[in-house]
Amino acid sequence: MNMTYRPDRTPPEGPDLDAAFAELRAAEPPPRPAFMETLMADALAAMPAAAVPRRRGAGRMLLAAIGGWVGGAALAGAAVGGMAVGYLDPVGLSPVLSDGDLAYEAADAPADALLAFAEEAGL
Amino acid sequence: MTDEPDPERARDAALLAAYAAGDARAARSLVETHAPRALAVARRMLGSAAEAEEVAQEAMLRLWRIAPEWRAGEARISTWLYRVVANLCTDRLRRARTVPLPEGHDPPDERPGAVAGLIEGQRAAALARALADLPERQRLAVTLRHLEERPNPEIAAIMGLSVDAVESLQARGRKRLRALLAGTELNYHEG
Repeated sequence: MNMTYRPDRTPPEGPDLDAAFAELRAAEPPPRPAFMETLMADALAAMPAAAVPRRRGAGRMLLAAIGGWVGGAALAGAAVGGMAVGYLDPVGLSPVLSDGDLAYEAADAPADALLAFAEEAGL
Repeated sequence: MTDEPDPERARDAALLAAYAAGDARAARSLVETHAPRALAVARRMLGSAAEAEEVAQEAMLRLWRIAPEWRAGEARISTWLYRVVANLCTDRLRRARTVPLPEGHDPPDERPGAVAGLIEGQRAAALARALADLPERQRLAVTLRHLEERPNPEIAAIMGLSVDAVESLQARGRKRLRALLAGTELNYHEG
């Protein structure tokens, strides 16, 4: 068997490039699904932070339970006020808190009212 | 140049605005539309599936970063992305030419022609190998025109060249491809 090169058989316009390009386009392998998911994860990670819903941590849940930042600030203010009263022992409050009559009247007022009610009812 | 509204640009701008506002569906739409194209061009330019994925991933990351500043009507995402991919590929090809390999390094065969082995069909495989033998700019101009089917004015914008220069690259590329493919179809007869 004798193989002889015959370049004259090649058509003058050469191979059909357009048909070959069409075959190559059709044969293009699709991206790997795992790669596409990686790209999707990148997209979500790079999404502007303000727009991405975040998981709420324990601190945020506690803050929400006491009424958000306003509620938290009010609670903190009340706590500081209470500590200040306890620490400074304001003079203006002492007569009220230490007056024996007032304290007696205040403490016995409910008992007196019950006694009067019982007498009127003939008990 | 015309001032006619370009529906593709408008759709691109709307999708990127939606993405920037936190719409995950917009992100998926952008990934599914543009990533395969970016990957295909990178594969054709680099010849390595792994490197092409790295380039496409980096290009998409740059798209996400620019999304909040994307202005409607400024450009098509495809044009912008192809340009980024082309630049990233050029950088890699230049580095590969200038950085010496470490002693004893035996890299896998990841020349552009190596990808051709993955493609079914003899004619397509032969064309893929021939494309890999084209000079870099001819390969890009031919790939964008005949595989990505982009119009020449867009290719000119991607490559930063005039339309005439792009057409010249394509003409030389096609001529060389014909010669390379004719060489694979040598005719023999039994004498």
